[in-house]
Amino acid sequence: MRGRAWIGELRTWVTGVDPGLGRLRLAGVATAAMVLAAVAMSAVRAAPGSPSPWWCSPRCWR
Amino acid sequence: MVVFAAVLAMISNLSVNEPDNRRRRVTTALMVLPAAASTVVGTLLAEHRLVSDVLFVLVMMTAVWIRRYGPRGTALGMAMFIPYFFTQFLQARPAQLPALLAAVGVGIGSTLLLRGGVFAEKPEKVLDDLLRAVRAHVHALALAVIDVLEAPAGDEKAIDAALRDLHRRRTRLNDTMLLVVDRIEQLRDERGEPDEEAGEDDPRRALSLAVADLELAAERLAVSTRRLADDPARPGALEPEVREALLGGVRGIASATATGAPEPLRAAVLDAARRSVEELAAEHSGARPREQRVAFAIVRLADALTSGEGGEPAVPAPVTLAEPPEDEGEEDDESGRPVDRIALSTRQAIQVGVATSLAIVVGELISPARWYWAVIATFVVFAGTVSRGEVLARGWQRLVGTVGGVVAGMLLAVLVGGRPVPTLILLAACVFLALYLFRISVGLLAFWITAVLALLYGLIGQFSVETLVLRVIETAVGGALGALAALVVLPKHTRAAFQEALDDTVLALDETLGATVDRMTGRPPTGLPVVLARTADEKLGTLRQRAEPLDNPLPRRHGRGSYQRALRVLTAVDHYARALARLSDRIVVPGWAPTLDPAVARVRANVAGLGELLGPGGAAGSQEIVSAEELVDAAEAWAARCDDPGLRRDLLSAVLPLRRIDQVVVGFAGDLAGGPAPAQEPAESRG
Repeated sequence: MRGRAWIGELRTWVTGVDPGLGRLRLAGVATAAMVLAAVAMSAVRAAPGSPSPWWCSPRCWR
Repeated sequence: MVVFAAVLAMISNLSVNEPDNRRRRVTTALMVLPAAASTVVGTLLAEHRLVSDVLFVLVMMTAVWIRRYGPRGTALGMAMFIPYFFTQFLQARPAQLPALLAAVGVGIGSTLLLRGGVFAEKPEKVLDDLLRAVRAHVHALALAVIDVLEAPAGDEKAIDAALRDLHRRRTRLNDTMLLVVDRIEQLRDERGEPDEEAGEDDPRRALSLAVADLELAAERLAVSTRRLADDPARPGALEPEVREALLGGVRGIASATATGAPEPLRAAVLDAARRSVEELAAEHSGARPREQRVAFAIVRLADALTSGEGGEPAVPAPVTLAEPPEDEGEEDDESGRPVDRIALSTRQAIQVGVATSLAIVVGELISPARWYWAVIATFVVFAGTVSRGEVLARGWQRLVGTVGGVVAGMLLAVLVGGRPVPTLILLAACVFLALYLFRISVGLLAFWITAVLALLYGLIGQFSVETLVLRVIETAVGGALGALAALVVLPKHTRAAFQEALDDTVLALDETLGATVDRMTGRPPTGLPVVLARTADEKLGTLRQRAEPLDNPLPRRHGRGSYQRALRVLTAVDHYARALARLSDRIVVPGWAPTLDPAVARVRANVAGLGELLGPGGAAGSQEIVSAEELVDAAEAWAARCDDPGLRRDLLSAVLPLRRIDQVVVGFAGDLAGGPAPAQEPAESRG
């Protein structure tokens, strides 16, 4: 019972701290979009006929 | 290229803050144009260092200046800045242009696909979530009231801490209510329903009013609890049965508003809350007025929560608005100082231009390879700021966040030891946390982004403590140059920014009171009082934000004045003005005008006088503040003679907030002038 009350308090706190869960949704979608963009761009770069993958050189990660 | 596409996806998510899905999609799609243009120009000029640096500064200045066009301008400015930065950072060559443009399309396209399509916000769902958040905030406020009531007698420290917590929770509830009202208005706008034409059959108008009632009821509980704590006897000295009755009532409110509480349980605990205080509320002896007020507040909040669960709040009939005066909006509100005549976006664009030029030079001197960290730090500290105090605060937060991020990043990098799978999982987690927390603090964003960099360097085998220390140095330099520019180049004093927001708030409160009395006396108001009251509430939110860097006593003032206290007084005025505006929905009595008009006119003049008193001229330039007590008494006497008992009760309840506004304003003005404290210290001004 105490555990359930604690979970209830936590849920209430989370609901209150991020009204409408807007931040959670935005962060989730933005992370997903970043992953999608990275995967899609990797696929484009790996496609036959693409130029040499200079983007994976350490120079680009400075 | 992969990183470029991913960063564009991130930026096109974070910088687009349009209220509805359609505008959001259009803005996101439009971002392709400036992003592609600056990619092409940046790539073509990357070989010519001096020219590209000059253009980089111009791009940053434009990105800041274009913020004057609102959320869309801000987004397009970021779409211009980030790609240009990447072309310089990658030293892109013209041969890579097709791939870079593909990355622009992929990055922004990913956002359009996910945010604009697959995971597009459903406005009704967001509204439901926000209403749940409102209940959660009422729950938190009830818990804070419990803390005040349970604080031991004589423990001033504990009671004051509990009261501060109560004030914080009330502010958060207020912020969330603004989001709810915005969302409701947005839903109405999407359907093309103007507010003033909404009538009894409009469920959104009913919901909007139910939510306003709930907020007022929750605030009333907070205010009455504060007044109880002001009692010399202190709540710890309450009679045990009274304390238990009040605690029982507030605990019932807390249980009913806990997230996930089943519906049947809600109704039952709200009933129990009412029963717990019904004896106290029914007392006629007048022996415990402050305790009784808390009991009334509990009953009213329980009723408002029941109403919010499907009951019917009082919905007003449609109202005809007065024609606005022809010269409205043409007032010249610029002050005499030249810096105040320059628009905020122009002033900040110039500051950014100077600061980033210096950051390029100094950053390059420190590290020719990583000068851009200083430039980014300089650019970022100006985002969303108005005054130099805010720029300083953001610069400091970013530096602290970066230092913390370096430590965390080193620990994480050592923990994963360059293994790809755990590193990628941690990278995603850190990116998520950075994006989740960036609206709370720029320091938290810097913390997690620095951790991301440490992990990335670990992944490609370039991790070194020196690199991360260099990031701290470049960030410190960038932040310092940003702060220097804010202090030296066309500086906007933090107090001047506060003053602007104060003037706006006082004007909005004045308009609310004016429209309210017009509506109550049957004259066409200039706007809907509840809508004007909401605007005043938003202005107060801005004022609260501007007061954050100011925590010193007011300059050249005697007595117990402080910015925070001025804020509390205006918060009280705002609360009572909203209560009055809400009452105007059901009171229309033209015969009341001869006594109500002079009282409201005096109260409005006092509110305006307080604004002047808090201004740079102080008491010298302000109009005299004279208590409206006798005029309010006359309006109350007229109301008390009303034959209809229901109307009489409504009229008398409208006099109460008016009297409170006068008390808090006159009391605070007296304190600022160094005069004797008023006989009845208002609850909200308790310092």
